[in-house]
Amino acid sequence: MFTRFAALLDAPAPIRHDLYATVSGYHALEQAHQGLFGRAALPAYNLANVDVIFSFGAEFLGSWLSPTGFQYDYSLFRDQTLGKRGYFVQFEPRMSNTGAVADRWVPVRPGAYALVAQAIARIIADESLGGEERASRATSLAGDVNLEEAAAAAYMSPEELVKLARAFATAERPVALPGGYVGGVEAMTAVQALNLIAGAGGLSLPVMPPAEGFSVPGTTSFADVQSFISAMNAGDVQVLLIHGANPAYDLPASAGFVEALKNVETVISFSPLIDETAVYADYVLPDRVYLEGWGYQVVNPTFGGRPAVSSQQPVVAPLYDIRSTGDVLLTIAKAFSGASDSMPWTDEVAFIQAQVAALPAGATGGEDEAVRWARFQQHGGWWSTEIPDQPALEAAASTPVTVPETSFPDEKEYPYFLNLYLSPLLLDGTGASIPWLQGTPDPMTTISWQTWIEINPETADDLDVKNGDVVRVRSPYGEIEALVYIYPAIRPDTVAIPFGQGHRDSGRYAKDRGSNPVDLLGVSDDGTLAWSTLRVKVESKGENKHLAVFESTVDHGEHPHYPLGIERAADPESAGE
Amino acid sequence: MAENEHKWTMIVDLDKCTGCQACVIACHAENNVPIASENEVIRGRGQHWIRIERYWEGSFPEIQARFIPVFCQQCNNAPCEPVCPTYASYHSDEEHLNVQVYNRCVGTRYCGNNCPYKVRVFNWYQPQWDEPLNQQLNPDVSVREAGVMEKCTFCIQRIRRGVEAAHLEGRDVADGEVVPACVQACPANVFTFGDLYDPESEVSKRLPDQRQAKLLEHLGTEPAVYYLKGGESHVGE
Repeated sequence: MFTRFAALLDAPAPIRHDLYATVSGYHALEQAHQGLFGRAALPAYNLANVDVIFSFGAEFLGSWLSPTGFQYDYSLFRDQTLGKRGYFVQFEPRMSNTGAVADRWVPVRPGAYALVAQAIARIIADESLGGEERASRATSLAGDVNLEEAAAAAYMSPEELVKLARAFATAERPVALPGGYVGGVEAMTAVQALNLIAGAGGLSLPVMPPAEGFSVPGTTSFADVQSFISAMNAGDVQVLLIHGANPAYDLPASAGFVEALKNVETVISFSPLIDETAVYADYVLPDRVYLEGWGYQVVNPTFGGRPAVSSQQPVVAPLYDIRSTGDVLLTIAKAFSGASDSMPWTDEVAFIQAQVAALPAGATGGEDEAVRWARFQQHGGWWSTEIPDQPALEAAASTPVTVPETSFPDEKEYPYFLNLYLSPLLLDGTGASIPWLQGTPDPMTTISWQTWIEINPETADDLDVKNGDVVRVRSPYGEIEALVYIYPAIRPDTVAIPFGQGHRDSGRYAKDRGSNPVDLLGVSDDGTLAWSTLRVKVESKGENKHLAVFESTVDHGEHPHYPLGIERAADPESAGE
Repeated sequence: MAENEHKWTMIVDLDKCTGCQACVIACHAENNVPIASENEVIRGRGQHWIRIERYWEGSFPEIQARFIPVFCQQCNNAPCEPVCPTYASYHSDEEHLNVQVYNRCVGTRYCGNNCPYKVRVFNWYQPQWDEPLNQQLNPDVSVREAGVMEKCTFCIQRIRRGVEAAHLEGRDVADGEVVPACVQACPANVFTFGDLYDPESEVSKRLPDQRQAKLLEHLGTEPAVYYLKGGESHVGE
């Protein structure tokens, strides 16, 4: 709707920005596919039908692409669909809840994912593993890699790395997944090259969309966001509409978004709650929240190769007398000539009905438009009866993949790699306003309501910190405070912090709670957003606070049991107040 | 076995649990379980009818984590029942469940002390739902007050609804008609729920299983929850 509205006004196409897509690496992934397969699209993985998964920092059971769909697939993966339980290896410096269920967790050094992926390709080529075809493809795609260096980066011996390469190469249907941590386009390409070597059986680039009206706009890069901020600074933006984004919260201060807003005459926010960006708006026209409003979501990429569109309809009466954003745009559009052609609908429901009418016959059936619309609502959406044949993926080029150099800040000044990750509950902070999500224990630490920093026990000894100690975390771009949580499944040279907290606004459950790790990010010299290539310094502040940790606290005593050696405060009544 | 008797049983496949907490949130939503504030969690008063326990095995770098969803085991020989002075905690012969009668409970917490699984939670405070969150309360489930013990019921309100609806149609409840909220929400199909007295039910067909185990089975509590142990794969190693 925004795309149509912008076109009607002859305005630039909407910028699609959120921290979640950035951290998940979607834009780099699409660009990697453009280079590898000649088509920029997000990948679909049929994990139910593979026997070996090598995941390079892809938190596919927590936040990446479609974690709910992947969990269903993962269930089938363990159900021995192919007659075996499956072998799953997760490469990541800090064990995520995805890595927790892996058969083997490999604590790879941050920035070395592509190196390790290419080392596996090199071994397959050098040792002619996995049959003639795979070895031949590996020979053409594998770059020049130092195996000793790659093995060291993966915290293992070269012999162990060879065993892993053999497991991948000799599997019936292996697949490699590149998460956002992998890096830019070249690094993503290095991982996806493993799928090409394997024969790409578990990977496809689905042809989208099921109908023209349901086309999914491509992702936006950080460079697009920066050029937009430049346009704002240059006074080229008179009116800014913000919907479903919170850039004042999830862009680093050095990007200059908030300052640039001062050069925009009129800022209109459609946020249903006053978030960090809405406070700068001249007008707030709150959209209905998902339980109150109509909507749809195109499943992108498809669900196991099957195109699907989910439907959304009101389940509660709106709490306030507000219009949905779709209706606001349609009403305004009426004032412009040309609206009767490009935005002819009376309201957003009529718009969605028109799109549904254009869908091909699906699994939910329906002879005429009215029945099809009723079933779209009744069944929660539309999906195709058949999984369409996907064109076999063939390499657009078969030159050796290069492994990019990754540069980090100075090790002496900033001793620890920083592994920022999307909270499986709060994600990039969009879930922080919901008390059910705030109060649910994090799967790995069981902490709720707070911001913590995960530190290896050995490193904690070096820093002389214990659970609950308040530390100052400093990067070249900024600093935050966090509570120490000693975490045994993280590299000693790495510390990890979840995104999600640190809101200055966004409602009563999110406001003034924890720290925002975005404050540690910055714009690097090459103009990219530095979030996965950071090092930090960690300093104790000499204070200790109680962690809101659920682990080991389920014994209903008058005197709460503080886990893991946390000392009680002198006045427990004041704890956490 | 009496007529209309059911043996409600849960199977938990640990090989599939990813620790995602979907079951935990679904349970809060279905059963009006309040969210504990930060301060309450710090004071050891976090309140969940189902929790995901995370265990570490080994040490860095050869370390693995294990997730185990833990909730009331609906013991056939339940330690929580005989210690209740007001018969708030008693055994339902019809459903073979441990039942908690909230308006009998006077808050001695003996049952919580005696439960080896630590799955009973006590309302230390009067539960609060800030406006308008009170609108999300499930009308089928009582809201408990301060001083009352509560726990997982296998979503008894869903069991009753399923059984009574079938009874009105002159038949017994069919397998799959009763689905607790945690089972419904789990994307990885970790849970299987049904009547062990129904030979055609999925739980009956899946049991016995060579991976099956019960929590603290040596205590003789005879839980109605069967855990299927997680597996291991070693390829090329």
